Amino acid sequence: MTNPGAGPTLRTEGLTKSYDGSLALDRLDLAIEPGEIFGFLGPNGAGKSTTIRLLLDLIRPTAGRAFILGFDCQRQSREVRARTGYLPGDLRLYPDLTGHEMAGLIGSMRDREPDAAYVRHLASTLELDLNRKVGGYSKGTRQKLGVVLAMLGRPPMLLLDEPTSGLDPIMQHATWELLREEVARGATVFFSSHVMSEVEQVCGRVGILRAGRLVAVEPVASLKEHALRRIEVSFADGVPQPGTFALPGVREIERHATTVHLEVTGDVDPLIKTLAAYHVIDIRTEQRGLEEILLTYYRTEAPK
Amino acid sequence: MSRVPVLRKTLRDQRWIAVGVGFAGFLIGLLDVFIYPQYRDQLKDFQYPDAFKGFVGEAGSIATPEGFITAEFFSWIPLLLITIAIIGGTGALAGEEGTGTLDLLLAQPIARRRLLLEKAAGLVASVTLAALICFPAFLIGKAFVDFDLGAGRLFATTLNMLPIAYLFLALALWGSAALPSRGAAAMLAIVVVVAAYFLYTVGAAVDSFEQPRKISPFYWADPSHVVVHGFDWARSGLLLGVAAVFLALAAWSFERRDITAGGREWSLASVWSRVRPRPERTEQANA
Repeated sequence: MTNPGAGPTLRTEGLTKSYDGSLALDRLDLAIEPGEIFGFLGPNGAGKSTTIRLLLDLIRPTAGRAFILGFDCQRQSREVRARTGYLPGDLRLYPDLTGHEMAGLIGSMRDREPDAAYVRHLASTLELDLNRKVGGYSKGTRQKLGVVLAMLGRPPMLLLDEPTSGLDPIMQHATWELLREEVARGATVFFSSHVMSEVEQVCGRVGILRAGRLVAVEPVASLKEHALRRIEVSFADGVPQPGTFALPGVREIERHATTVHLEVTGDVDPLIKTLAAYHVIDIRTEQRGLEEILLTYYRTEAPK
Repeated sequence: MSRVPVLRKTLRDQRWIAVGVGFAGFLIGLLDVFIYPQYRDQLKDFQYPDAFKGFVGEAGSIATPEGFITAEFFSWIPLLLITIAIIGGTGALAGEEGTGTLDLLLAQPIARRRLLLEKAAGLVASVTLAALICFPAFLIGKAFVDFDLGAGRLFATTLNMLPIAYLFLALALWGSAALPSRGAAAMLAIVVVVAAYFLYTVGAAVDSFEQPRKISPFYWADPSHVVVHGFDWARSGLLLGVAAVFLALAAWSFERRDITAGGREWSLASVWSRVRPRPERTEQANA
């Protein structure tokens, strides 16, 4: 189930793909450890799907290499695909087949016959009716079937391209639950998304991709730590002298007669200790969401 | 668990078109045999134009069962089989790439070559089925009317329709494997079929076309030759050999290229954007 040799489950070295001279993916270096749920974030066209399709040898790299479970994604592609479940970003299925027949087709292409009880478990968790023709499925239902197809053979590596797109919140949670179950069994999950709240729910670490370049790889917790906090403080006896709030990570934005607006990054303790010396009548605080942090990464290249 | 899932899926997709075309061929074959006695006497002294020679070929006269069935059935029914072959062949890779289903198939542990061969096998089976469905029409017809041509010879001529259909199937697969658009692959195959058929039939009436005509696969699939002399292994072998070359080229092309997500639109404009002269090159040339 897990990586035979020690080391990352998924590793890329300078992975690059260009189309007619324009770079879709620029020297991607990434290492995903066994048992991780790794979120791959970026706006549309950033190169997320390109990366996943390179890993499956659907497209060939212009330069660089990639490995999954120690197997070379190009030279040993069959070995890689035998151990990888894939959900395409733009999932297309055969409309004339039922969900069962579709699962039968994909299942019979795997090396091992999928466990029928497991398929039933997946379908019931996602409330999916496998007896209906795929052509009659709604977009969300097709996506559920896509999740089932990716997880069919319980592969040790899951590559999911925007897995919860089109799913309602309940089904998003059900999908995350299935992913957590697989990770608990030792699987590694790599999924792309452009929704930070989703990544926040399930991922340990995220990589942020912008215009084909990896601009950050960080644990979700540390991304949150870097989040800016806006603090508004009101004083009974007027705002203290300028310079009082010249503390590490604190920036004064606006000052009025009795209120001051501050921006704080990281630890708020020094500020609280300073405020203790004054008669504070009100504190209001607001943390910018991860969504906003992500937008900052998307818009400007963050320092590495 | 099916060991050949893609083959089974291809057969499933092709079954109705194969049965439909086969049944149409069956009805036409039956009709041809039934009407032959009425036409035989009228056609005995028929002075047909040179352009018609290609349709009768070595059978000599359209008044004989050999000439009649060649001209009325075996000269054009292979075109129906070729049509199924082209529809199936271009749909196999470029078609599935265009609809986006190829991504999911190729993400499974199956070699691209294996996928291509299973699809090819399914399509060969479908074309073969269509041809074989036609054959009983001759037996049924012969039982009711005077049609003096052996069942063995008719079966050989029926089988003779297949190698040329396989050849165009392999050509369509090659187009489908090399080009990411079904339209482009179909256009390639149709242009070759039309040119080859034109060369073969018109060439029969023009002396100077006697040699160029031999380039056409239809020349080597000449049904009149088989209906008169019996199955020709050399000619069929030649066509199957060319088919094998096209299939090998298909595997070679498919193995090497990127699979586009959802295919690529093919138009003259897109071709032009690739081949148009680039300004910077001109500048370099001037410098």
